[in-house]
Amino acid sequence: MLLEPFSALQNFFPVFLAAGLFFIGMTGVLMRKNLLIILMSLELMLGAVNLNFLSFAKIYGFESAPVYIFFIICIAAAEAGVGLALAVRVYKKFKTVDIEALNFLKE
Amino acid sequence: METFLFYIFSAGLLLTAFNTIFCRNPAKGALNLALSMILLAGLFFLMSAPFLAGLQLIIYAGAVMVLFVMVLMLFNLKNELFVFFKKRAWIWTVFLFGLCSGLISLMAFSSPPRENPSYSFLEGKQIALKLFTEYLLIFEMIGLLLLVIAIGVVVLSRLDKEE
Repeated sequence: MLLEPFSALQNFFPVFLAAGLFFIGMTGVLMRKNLLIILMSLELMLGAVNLNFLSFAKIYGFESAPVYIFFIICIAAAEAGVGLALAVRVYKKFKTVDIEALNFLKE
Repeated sequence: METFLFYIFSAGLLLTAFNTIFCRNPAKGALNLALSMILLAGLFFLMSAPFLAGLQLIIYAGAVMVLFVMVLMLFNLKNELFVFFKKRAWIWTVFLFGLCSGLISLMAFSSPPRENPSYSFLEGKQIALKLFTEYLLIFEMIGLLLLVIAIGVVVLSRLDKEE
C-alpha cells in the first residue's frame, strides 16, 4: 500500500493531536490581551499535557501515568482558582482585564 | 466505529480550541472551552481510561468552567475591538509545532511501541492502589496545597477591606 511506511505514525496520532492543542493554547497565551482568555488558553495547554501523557503511557507502558494525570488535574484546578482571584483583583483596581493596563510595572 | 469517533472528537477538539482563542466575546470563549473539555473527556474515554475521563469531566468541564463563568459574570466586558496583541506570535508557534511534529515522527520511526500491551493500569482500582501506597506523600502534599490556595484566595479577595 502507498501509506505503508507511515503506519508507524498511526499509534502516535494522539501525540500529534496533543501537540496541536498545546500550540493552539500557546498561540492564545501569546496573542490575546484579555486576561480571562489567557487563563482559558492555559487550561487548554494543561489539557494537552494530560492527553500527551496518556497517549505516551499507552504506547510505551508507563504504569504510573494516571496518577500523574490526577495530580496535573488537581494543580490545574488550583491554578485556575488563583488566576481568577488575581483577575478579580486586577479588575477591581483598573476596571479592565486588558493586560496592557498592567505595563506600568515597566517604569 | 471507535476510530471514526476518535477522529470526529479530535476534529471537534481542534475546532473548539481555535474558537476559544479567536473569539471576540469571552463568554462564547468560555462555552467553547467547556465543549472542548467535554470532547477531551470523550477522547480519554475512547483511549480506554474511563476513570480519567470522569475526572476530566467533573473537574474541568464542571468545577473550573463554573468558576470561569462566575468570574465572567462579575465583569462588565464588552466585545473587544482590537483582539490581537502580537500579530506575529503565531509564526513562532507554527514553527515550534513543525519542529515538535518532526521530533515525534523521528521517535515514532526509531522506537516501536511495546508488544502485546495491557491497559489494566488505567482502571480506577489500580490508580487508587498506586495513589494510596506509592504516591501517598505527594497526595497529602496536594491536599495541603489545595488548603493553602483556598485560604490564599480568600485573603487575596479581601485585601482591600483591610486597608
